[in-house]
Amino acid sequence: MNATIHTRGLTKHFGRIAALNGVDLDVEEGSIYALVGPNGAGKTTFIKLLMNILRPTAGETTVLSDPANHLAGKQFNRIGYVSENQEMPGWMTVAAWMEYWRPFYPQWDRVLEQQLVNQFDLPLKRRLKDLSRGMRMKAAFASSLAYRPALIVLDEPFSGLDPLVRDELIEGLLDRAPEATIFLSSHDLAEIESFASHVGYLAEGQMIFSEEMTSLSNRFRDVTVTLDGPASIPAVPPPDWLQLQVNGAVVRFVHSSYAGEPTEHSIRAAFPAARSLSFDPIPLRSIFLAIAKKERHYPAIAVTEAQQGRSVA
Amino acid sequence: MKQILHILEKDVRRFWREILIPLALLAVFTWTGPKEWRDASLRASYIGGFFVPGTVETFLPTLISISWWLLIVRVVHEERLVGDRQFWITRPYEWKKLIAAKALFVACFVYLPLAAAQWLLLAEAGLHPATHIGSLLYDWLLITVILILPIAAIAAVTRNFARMTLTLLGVLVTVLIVTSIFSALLQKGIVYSPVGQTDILDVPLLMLFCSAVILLAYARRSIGLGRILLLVLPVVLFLSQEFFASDAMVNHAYPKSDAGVQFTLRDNPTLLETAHPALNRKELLIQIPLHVAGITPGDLWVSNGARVTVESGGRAVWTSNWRPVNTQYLTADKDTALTFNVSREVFYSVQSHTVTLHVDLALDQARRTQVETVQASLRDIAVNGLGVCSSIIDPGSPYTVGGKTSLRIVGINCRSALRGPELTYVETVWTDGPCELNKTVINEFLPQPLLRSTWIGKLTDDPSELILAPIDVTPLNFLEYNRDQNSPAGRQICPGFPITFTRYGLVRQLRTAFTIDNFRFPSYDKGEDAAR
Repeated sequence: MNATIHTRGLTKHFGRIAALNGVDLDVEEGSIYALVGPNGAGKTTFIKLLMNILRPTAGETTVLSDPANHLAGKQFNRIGYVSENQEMPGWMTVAAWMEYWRPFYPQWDRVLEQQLVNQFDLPLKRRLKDLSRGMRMKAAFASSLAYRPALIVLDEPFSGLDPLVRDELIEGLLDRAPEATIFLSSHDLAEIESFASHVGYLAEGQMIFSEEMTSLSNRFRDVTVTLDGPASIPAVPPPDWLQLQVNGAVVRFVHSSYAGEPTEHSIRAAFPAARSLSFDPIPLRSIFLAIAKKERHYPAIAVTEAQQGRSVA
Repeated sequence: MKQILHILEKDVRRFWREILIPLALLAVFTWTGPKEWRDASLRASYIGGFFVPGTVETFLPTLISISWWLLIVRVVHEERLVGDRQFWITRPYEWKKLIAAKALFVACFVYLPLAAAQWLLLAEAGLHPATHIGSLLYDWLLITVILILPIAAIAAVTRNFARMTLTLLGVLVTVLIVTSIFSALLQKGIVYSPVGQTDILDVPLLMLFCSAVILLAYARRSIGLGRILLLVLPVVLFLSQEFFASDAMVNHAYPKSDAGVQFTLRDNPTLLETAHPALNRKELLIQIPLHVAGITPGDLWVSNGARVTVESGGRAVWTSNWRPVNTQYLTADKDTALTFNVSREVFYSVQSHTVTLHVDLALDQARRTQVETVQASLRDIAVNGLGVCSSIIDPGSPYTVGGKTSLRIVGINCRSALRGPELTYVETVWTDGPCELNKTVINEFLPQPLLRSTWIGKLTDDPSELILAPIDVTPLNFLEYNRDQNSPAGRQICPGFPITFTRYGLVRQLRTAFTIDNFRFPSYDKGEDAAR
């Protein structure tokens, strides 16, 4: 498959601060790619570099096969961009806003426009400045979807919106998914878990991982080991054991490289006295919490009070 | 083109109120302009021919300029170039079309109404607009470079109106500081140059820098570089003026040449025999009484600057920089005086003995190009190459003499298109008696007509000055203070009296040098310092 978005070594410094540090990424055509990460991870900077709003310090980027730093004018015919903090001309009514953009896009679809207006229940006669935040986002969505862009780029599109509006926007977005690549950033994992096909995790300006959602869900497991006696755990746990907790005879951790039977064998070997082992799938939120805590250098092993003072193997 | 018109249409819908303000002001300006010329004529007649602008002439162009600035700033900021959250930067806007849309907006709501107003005013003033297209274009170029481009450039690199205002204030403060430094240096006589147009590069530099700032902002959204260029601009302007004021440029503009005119110290000076304090307290004002000979009939010599070297005991003790001198219009051999400043220190060191003065003079040589005599009239008089002249009627008129009612002409003013007149010598006659009696009664006791003359205009070939009002009003001031201060209230120019206009055109500029031996500096009364 072709990469709709392709970056190599993408770096952006603001003075001495590195907002992005050598990010490599490929977003496949037709995918719904969610870029997640904590606040300040560099998600918005990354998107602004994709959209040629900012210039990179180093690295290369192509968007729809064009170098991102040449992105301008007609190339935006194929891109729909919506950002949570994008300014809009408040003096325009919703109708004037839609009408204004029509001539800019040769492929503008009046039927789709009407459908989006109805779907989002947009008040055409109201000025943009008089709309609620949710309504303004809907107007931005409608004006960015009505010309059937090949790439839809959304920067924290659902941030601060009530669940109803969020669902309406996601619904509108998914209607376009068959004909577009969707790239969005978010720090709210629950909102993207249901529809993203790919996910990337950005932390402190570095891409920690980027993979398909199913593969991600498959390789993370909540592992619970119940022992007959007091737990004996490795002094230096393997790097793919995250959030290791010891509570009496129970050891729990998140395994980040779960591969089925071979993983189960290796854990059984690590805990020969294990009475029982369980490998449970975990929600995306827990996956990211585990990764985030690892990135923030939380203690590798959490030992309960009862366990303190006992030695570990 | 479709995108350009589409953006323009949006901007018109957005800024229709802002558009109406300069339009209304221009309408008032066009309506009141002719009235202002007439009032100006009256005012001029009351204060001895000096032109004092009226309220409308003073404030309306300023208000119009400010309203244009507001409009331009608003329309540029509508698609703001600074920042990363604007609605338009990820849309299929093409920067060339965006800039064209903004330019078209300015053309439609600044230039077009201005052109219409100027056309109407020229026609109303009796100056055929079609014959002044070149001057109008030059005026619009000046308006563009001096009024429009700088504000558009500042708007292009600022985020909002408040930031723009702060930046504008910053630029104005910088310009004021640079100008103050320049003025201070000028007062010290350091940077004066007889090269009249030391600002010759101002327009090209302004155009170049402001265009670069605008293009960088629109084409590359390169704001930082644009801001640096705007900060550098006043310094570059200052340096360019310094360059043109330099000795090398004076020598280039005024090559050393034999003027064929001789300047000699007058034997019996009567003019100013004492030194006076100069504006700069460290200096004194000295007059060198001179006699000029060798002027060819029809020629005119104008002194633009002087540089004086004082030599004592065979060595130069002081050499001045180029200094402004009292401008003289020399058309025939005559007694005159060269006035210049000398530092007090030098003055006191050489006052007690005779010195040798070496004087460099920067001179403009002009030649008579046209002589035209017209008759004073109550109607407008067309004067070739100058414009239209009107009589200033005494507001106390009409008066009645011998049963006949007459209007009294107390002065003349001339209207030119877009710039002041070329250097012109104007002669006429005044009379202290009633015009009707002058015509009909031969009476040896009646006052005889008095010959009076004045200089107007300057030796320049600029097609236009920077003006919104396309009419330049030049009152002809025939008063000679020493001779006319006790003139009777009834002095007037009678209809039919001749008025002769002699125009001069620049032939060359040159530098001439002469030496005055055995010059003794005049005395100086230190009490004058206390009197100041």
